[in-house]
Amino acid sequence: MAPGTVCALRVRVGVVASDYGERVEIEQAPRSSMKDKFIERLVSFLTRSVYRDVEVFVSSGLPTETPMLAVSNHFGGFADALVLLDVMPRRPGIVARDVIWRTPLVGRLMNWIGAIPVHKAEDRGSTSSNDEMFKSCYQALAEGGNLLIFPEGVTRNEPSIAPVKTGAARIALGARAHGVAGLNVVPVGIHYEDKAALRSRVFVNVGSPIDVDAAIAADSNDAHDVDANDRDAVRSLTEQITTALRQAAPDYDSWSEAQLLTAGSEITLRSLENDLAMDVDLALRDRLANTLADRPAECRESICEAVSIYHDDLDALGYSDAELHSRLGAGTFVRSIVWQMFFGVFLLPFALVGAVVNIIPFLVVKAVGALRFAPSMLSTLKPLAAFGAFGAVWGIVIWMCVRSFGWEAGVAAFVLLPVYLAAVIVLVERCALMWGLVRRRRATESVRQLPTQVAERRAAVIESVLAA
Amino acid sequence: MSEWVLLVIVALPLSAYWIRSVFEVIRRGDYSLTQRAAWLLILILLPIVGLAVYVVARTPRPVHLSGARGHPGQAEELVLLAEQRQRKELDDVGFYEATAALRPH
Repeated sequence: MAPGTVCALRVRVGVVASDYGERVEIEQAPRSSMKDKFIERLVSFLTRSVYRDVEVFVSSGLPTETPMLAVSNHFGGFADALVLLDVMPRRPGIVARDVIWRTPLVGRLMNWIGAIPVHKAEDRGSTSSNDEMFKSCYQALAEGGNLLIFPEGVTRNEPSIAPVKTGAARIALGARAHGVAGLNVVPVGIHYEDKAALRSRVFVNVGSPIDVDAAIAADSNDAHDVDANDRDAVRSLTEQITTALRQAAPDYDSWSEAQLLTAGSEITLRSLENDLAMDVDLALRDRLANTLADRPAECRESICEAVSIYHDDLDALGYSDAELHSRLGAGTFVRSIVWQMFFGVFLLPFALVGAVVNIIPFLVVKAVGALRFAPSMLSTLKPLAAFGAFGAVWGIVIWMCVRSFGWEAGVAAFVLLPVYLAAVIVLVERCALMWGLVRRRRATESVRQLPTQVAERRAAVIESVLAA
Repeated sequence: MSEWVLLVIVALPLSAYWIRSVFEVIRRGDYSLTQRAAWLLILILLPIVGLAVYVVARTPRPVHLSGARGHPGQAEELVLLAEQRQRKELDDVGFYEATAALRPH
């Protein structure tokens, strides 16, 4: 399925430059081999099925020719890798813990996508040596390739960056010492709207690259001798990576702070969009919230307090900020509802077929989601379960079609199964959209004029964000 | 009855998808004329198999735009200013002055 075919499967793979107005397109390098193309299609199909919207922001200055080492936060286990494989310009090879290879099927999958195993001291019973890992990394970078590493070394369930391990800096410095020229370390922040939910949004923030040569030249007199064993250089580069990662990725003191600062950011941005946007871009919301998280404690506290007070007001009114501020006239409401209904009726037969075919794998994924695991573990398990369950059922359906109606029917089923699934997803999301319209209309009707006190408290939120 | 159901459930989406793919091939600026002609031939001569092959083998079109609404709005402006301040390219006073226009009156 081509990206952007259906509204609800909309994917905004975006590229934006640093400066106003200037927008740069980063072309994905043409994939030479069939296998690469297939991986790309599979990965993009998976992310577009799991997430409602994938937003990407790429800072200017991203290298297009020279090798790069992407360093990313690690909130979502396997989902992180999936999303980054899909959206990163110039698809990177993933450096991952070798324990992952011990899971039977997953190990094969990792080899197939060209991942490089790294051995961690705390994982016992491993046979691979890290010298080999370093060598494969240098080789991949020397060939002008790209690597992706999660430098914290663990998946996180807190909304902050764990102490960054030295591995990323050692790979970068070692590769440079082995003759890799023009290497850049690129910080990447993955922001999940809700990492355990199906069909939520995800935002990938690709930050400004760190030029490794320049970084070494800045704090060493003898830049030629620096290699992976130079402790000072490793420490200094690791610090730079940490700072860059904190700017690109979510880094809050606590979940409640994360929630209140993003809410404050969203309210402010909505007010600047003349309250027209029901959904503030996740990209804008989280980028602003990220800069707020970097402000002094008293600024953050005042925002959190203002948002809490305003939220109490909203609770009393029974509507969300978005519902109250995206006014909906009767005419527009009726037109939208009629159009959605028409669209829904058209989709219904296909959605029904989709529902019948996909109900079992869907329940399997739901059951996995109900297991009591940490959110980061769930975001690993759920895509895997989805991949297995949907793959198996679709395989059976295709096989049955071939058996009963001949091979052409099997081919048709292969093409149509994703279409039916898309119909279900679109229909369900249209219904959610209609419910949102109803809520907005009700808010417009029942709260004709926002009480002065509530309006003042909203203004206080915006003021606190702008003053932070 | 069953033929009618088959027509709606299978033939309709299949032909819609096929027509969409044909138009996509014709309009693809990133394919050469030969490539487009070849894909069209495949799609026309082997409609079902050709469609399946195209769906799997086509390279995704370069997609771009990120929440882009043509020109940056005030919201995007605020985010850019806040990020400049975070990178210390802008001090607190500069940020305050630059965001003055955005404040509620």
